[in-house]
Amino acid sequence: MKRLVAAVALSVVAGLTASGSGLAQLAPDIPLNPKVRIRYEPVSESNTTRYGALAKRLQERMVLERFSQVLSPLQLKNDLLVVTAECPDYKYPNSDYRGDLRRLRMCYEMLDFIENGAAVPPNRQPKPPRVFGPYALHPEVTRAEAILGGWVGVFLHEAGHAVFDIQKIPRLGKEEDAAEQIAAFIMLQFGPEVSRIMVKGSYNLWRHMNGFFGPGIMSGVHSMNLQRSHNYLCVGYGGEPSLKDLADRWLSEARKANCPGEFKQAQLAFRKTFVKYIDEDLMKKVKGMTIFRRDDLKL
Amino acid sequence: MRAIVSAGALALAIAWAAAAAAPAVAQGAKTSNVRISYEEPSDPNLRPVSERLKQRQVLERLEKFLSPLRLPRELVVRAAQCGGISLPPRAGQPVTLCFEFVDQLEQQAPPPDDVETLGAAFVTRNMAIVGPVVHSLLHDVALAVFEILEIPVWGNIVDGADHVAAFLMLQFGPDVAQKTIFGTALYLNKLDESFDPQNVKPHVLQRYYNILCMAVGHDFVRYAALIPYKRAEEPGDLPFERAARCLSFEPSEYTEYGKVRQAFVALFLEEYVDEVLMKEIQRIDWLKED
Repeated sequence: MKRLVAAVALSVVAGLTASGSGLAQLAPDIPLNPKVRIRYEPVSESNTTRYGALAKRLQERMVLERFSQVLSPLQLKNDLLVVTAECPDYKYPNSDYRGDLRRLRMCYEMLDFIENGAAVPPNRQPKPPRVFGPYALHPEVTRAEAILGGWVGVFLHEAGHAVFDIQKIPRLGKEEDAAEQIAAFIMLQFGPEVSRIMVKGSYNLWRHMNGFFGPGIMSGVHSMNLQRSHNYLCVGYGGEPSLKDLADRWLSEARKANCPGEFKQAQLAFRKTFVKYIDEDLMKKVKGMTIFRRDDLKL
Repeated sequence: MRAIVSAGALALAIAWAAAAAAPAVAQGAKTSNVRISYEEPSDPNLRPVSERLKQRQVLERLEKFLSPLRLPRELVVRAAQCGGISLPPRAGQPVTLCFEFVDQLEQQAPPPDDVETLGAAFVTRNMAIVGPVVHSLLHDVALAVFEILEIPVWGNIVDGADHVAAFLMLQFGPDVAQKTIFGTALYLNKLDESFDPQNVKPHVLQRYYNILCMAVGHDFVRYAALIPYKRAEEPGDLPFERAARCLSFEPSEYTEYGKVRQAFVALFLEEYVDEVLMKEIQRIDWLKED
């Protein structure tokens, strides 16, 4: 599974590469997933300045096509529509999966929020936020980690919802936490370097969310923002011991002690609920896909 | 103290779903691999609680209730003095109902001639004691069963156990369900806990709202007192924004209750439950003698 997950990262990373030039090439020997339909929705005229370049870059880099390739080993029971789009129906940056439409939507607003908010140091924020706590780019996180890890984390979270729903995977516990946990688990399949980027970026994003928008609400369907950042880090450390330095600095001793167990819980759940839907032959091909390019980290 | 007796007995009566318990309990049911034990408290103040739990066959009823479950190895459930109101669940360790917990519930519950309010709902003394005992036992048994059967749980495992407990509480007739849900909710709502974003457990208020969400998803008319619909929101209410995600006019797979129901069937009923025996157990009216 390592490379499958890595490939997911690649698809996202490629789309986010600010300095990426020219059209991307798809791996020729890997088919698109026949159940995944993709669509790049245009940016409205009024938001062209804000999101136009971002939307164009995603399409040029064939992010969604790559996503479909990466998902090719997954035998989905129904179609999944994956789109990049504006999401004016939200008052705040978001992305979503809707089961009634079987649609995963990555919102330009969220990508913009990550690139121009979570990945920007406090002294260079575009406008003063409402400060509830530490916010903006964490001093130990690079801009590339914040963008790549933040975006992939959101993408994997929504993909988790989609696969849970389409495959009818049983979930006990809160749906949003389940999606978070599968996202964190998948991040760790890339090997230590990629895992580090993903975990740091996700930790940074939810820390920024907390500082910018506040802690969240106890009655909400999501965990609180800081719970989310620590959940990513804890599962990450539990499954990837090379993240110990981060855990030592950012996690309490009590939580650290629980992290291996949290990872094992996710590992067991993955083995018992996901693996049966994977085509091993296609998996081998996906494993051949390139993961990160050097340019991807120059953001 | 009579309330404790009733509470303990009722707790199990409710949780284990169904009737004239004594004859059935006497027969015992060993198919589940559940073993029970009562330990003697060293604190003399807890002995009355211990004796009453024993007299009312609280754990025997639990054993009977769990009898349709097929466990590959032994699960011990005991009543004991813990030195606190709970013991942290650990793999391979017994599930423990602490005498101190029941004692605390008794002390905190409203007097017999009064009620507490939760949103627009009333909670009686009996509900305030019975509900948390039932919930606590079912929650901890669920955690143990997750471990024994290697049940896949995505997300926070404490929430998973809460969902299983709430789901079971909602299966045993609307009146019993309402009493145990309201009692549990009151207990969680009154707990004073600071928010630690690193705590492995969800905050107690998050657990509170999750249980209300399950209840509303199961029967939103019965639990309407907790939804601020066409009225101002009160402390304890399930905010309308969350409630809208919890309820459905039709049984829905997209409500939390619906998802848990599906998961329960897929993860437990289809593999680890003797359905014939379960139907037999469900026909028992556990509340009859209480």
